[in-house]
Amino acid sequence: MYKKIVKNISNVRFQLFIISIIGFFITLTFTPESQFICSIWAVALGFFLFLFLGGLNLSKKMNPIPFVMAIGILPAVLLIVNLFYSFLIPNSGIVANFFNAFFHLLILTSFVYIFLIFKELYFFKQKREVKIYFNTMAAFIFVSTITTLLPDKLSFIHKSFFVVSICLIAFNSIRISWIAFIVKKEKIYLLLLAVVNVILMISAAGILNTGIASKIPPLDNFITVMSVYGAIYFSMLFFTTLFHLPTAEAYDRRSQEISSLQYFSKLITQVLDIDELSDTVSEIALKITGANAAWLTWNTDDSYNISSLNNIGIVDSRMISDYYFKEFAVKQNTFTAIFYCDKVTSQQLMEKCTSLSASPIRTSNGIKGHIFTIKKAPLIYDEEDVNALNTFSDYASVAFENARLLKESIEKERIENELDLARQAQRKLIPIKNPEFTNLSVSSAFIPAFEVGGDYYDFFELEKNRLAFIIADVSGKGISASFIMAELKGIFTSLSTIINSPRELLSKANILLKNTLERKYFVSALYGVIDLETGKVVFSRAGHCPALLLKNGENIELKPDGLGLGLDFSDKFRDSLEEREIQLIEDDVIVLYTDGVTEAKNSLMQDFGDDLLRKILSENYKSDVHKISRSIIEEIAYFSKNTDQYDDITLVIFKWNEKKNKNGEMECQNSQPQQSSLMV
Amino acid sequence: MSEFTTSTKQLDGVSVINLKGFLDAHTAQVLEAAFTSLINDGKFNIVVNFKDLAYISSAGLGVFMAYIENIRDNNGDIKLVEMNEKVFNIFDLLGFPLLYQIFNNEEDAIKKFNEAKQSENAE
Repeated sequence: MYKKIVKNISNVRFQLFIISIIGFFITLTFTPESQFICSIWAVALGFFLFLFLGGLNLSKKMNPIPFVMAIGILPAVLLIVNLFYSFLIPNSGIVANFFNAFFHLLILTSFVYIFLIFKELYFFKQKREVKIYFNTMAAFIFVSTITTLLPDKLSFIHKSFFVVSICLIAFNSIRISWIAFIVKKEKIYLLLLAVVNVILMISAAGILNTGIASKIPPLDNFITVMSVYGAIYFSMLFFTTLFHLPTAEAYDRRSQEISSLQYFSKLITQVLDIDELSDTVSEIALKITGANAAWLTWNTDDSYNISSLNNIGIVDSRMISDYYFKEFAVKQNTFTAIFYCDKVTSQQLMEKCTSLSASPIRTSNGIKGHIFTIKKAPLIYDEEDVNALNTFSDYASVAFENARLLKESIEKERIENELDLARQAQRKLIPIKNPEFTNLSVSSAFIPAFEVGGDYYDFFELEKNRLAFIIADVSGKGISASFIMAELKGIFTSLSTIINSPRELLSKANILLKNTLERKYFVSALYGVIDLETGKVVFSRAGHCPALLLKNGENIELKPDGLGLGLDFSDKFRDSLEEREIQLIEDDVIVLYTDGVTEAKNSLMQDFGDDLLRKILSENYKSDVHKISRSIIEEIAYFSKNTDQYDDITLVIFKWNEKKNKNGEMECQNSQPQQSSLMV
Repeated sequence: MSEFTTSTKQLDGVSVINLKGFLDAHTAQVLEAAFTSLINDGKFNIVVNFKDLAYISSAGLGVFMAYIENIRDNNGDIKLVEMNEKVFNIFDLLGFPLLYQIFNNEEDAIKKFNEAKQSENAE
């Protein structure tokens, strides 16, 4: 504020204005008789006042109504001042002169201001090219005002300028374009204002000109011109408004639609947060209906929740909502309902309420909630309001549905990321490549399910030329399964170097798992050790799928007894475990697998099954391990084509080939390519 | 695929849960709820009938493990009856017959419960 004042003082226009005020006051106070000098000062003051006020750029408002009102108020004030002036102020003397000067200043300021307002009104909603017309008019008004100072002989100059000014005023008042842009209620109001303004302007001019202003001809002329301007302008305004009145409603509706569209587009960009969206919906509902309060309700199983209260208390909103749900909810209104508040025991309400609306928020699953608005003023909801609310609640419903879907997809993505992580973890736990030995060829295949199934296998090369192997299946899925797998890897890696007996090792592993494994989880495992020199295999099975021994195409099921890890932590577990020892001879094949192999499903939900597995093995027993593995995986892929894979598939195959030594160097690789071919 | 229901009836002081459909990780909670409500009612003598069960996954097996400790601590038991061969094989593979008594029909299982009760009373 202070800065603004300083800025104004340093302004040249302001300085000139102050000087002219001082000059004007001095002349009018001390030499009121010299009409000419007073007039000169008055013209100077008027001119600088115009520059100063015009420079302040007072009007930034977009609504013309306050301007029209101001033009009415200013002459009214002058008339009142004039009325008391003659009673209060003495007829002569310096004091009288001073007040006289002050009154002149007031009149001058008022009319200059009125002129500026006319200027604003003229340019309101007007193309800029018409500036020249207004400026010409202003120039003629100015000239006609100063020419009043010419001697009487030359008064024709003044008169001709005056007439041209009036003509220009009439010309400039013909098109009042801003009328079209105001709403109907304001137009009616404007009609009244126009009539009042015409009367006020003419009477002010008449009274002031015969009285106080008559001594200063330029002022007198300016007032006359302005009042003529006012009379013409407001008469034109009156008729223009009158002609626009029939189409006013159409304009109203259009403008409402446009602003509603803007609000709706706001909804679409705000779908990220449901709470935020509710608040916006509540806010917009207020705006489009011109209601006084709004809130949202959300249906729950047997009741509802209230949210996004806007301009209303929780008690009132609940009372009104209660009323609505009691009276209307049974009908499941699919459109906006309007009713009066007096039925809602209005004496209890803290705020006034005359009518209220309830619009449903619909989704594909039915009505999810409602948008409520109330009006306090006696204005009830009209058809446009109802239409707007219907359209708006549709948009809001879509916005809420979008927000919900977005939230769901984010959640889904989160789960998918988690599963990705679990799969990556699982991949790191299993061997990168198969070990290679002179007497034993090893092949393995692993195909993870989308929801990590918890399969784990591993090889540990032990001292004395022995190979330990483990195949296991954790009962959980996803990230929890991958944690248990990691633990298994730790346990088996360390125990395999310490404990030779598979039975003892599994018993120990069971004990170690006791503290970490939840009761509803368990692990099936098969652990064994192969002597790479003698071909002797010792193994135990803890609830896992049996191992298959292929001898000359014949399947021998190796299924020593044994409880799954984590099913029992007493001695029963150790007692249940059986240790089996077999001697491999040339071309013997050992096949280890998880239930993902035998329980792979086809489109009829049938299992791949043991029989099919054994059949494939019998047919391929002569092939090398990688080919056997590949043929099984291919058969599974063929069997379960067009169906999702529910569980991890793991296959480990050993072949004892003492005499031939290892063959197929080229094919001796891990299972990577096979996995990709199956996962398609 | 995930269609699974349970129904519970009372027979001679024993609760019999009938399983129907596919019992896997997604439907396991249905069975968990059935066990929880029996335990909350203090009913610890439970027979589970597998007659109408089409499939059980390892997560389904886990449900039995999750409650057995609590039930046995309360002198109760879960006995399993009328398993088809496929379901039995899954239980058998993991060694469940060592941990649970499995019967051919409900009557045998209920009889077993009542025998146990009598012997308890005799003591």
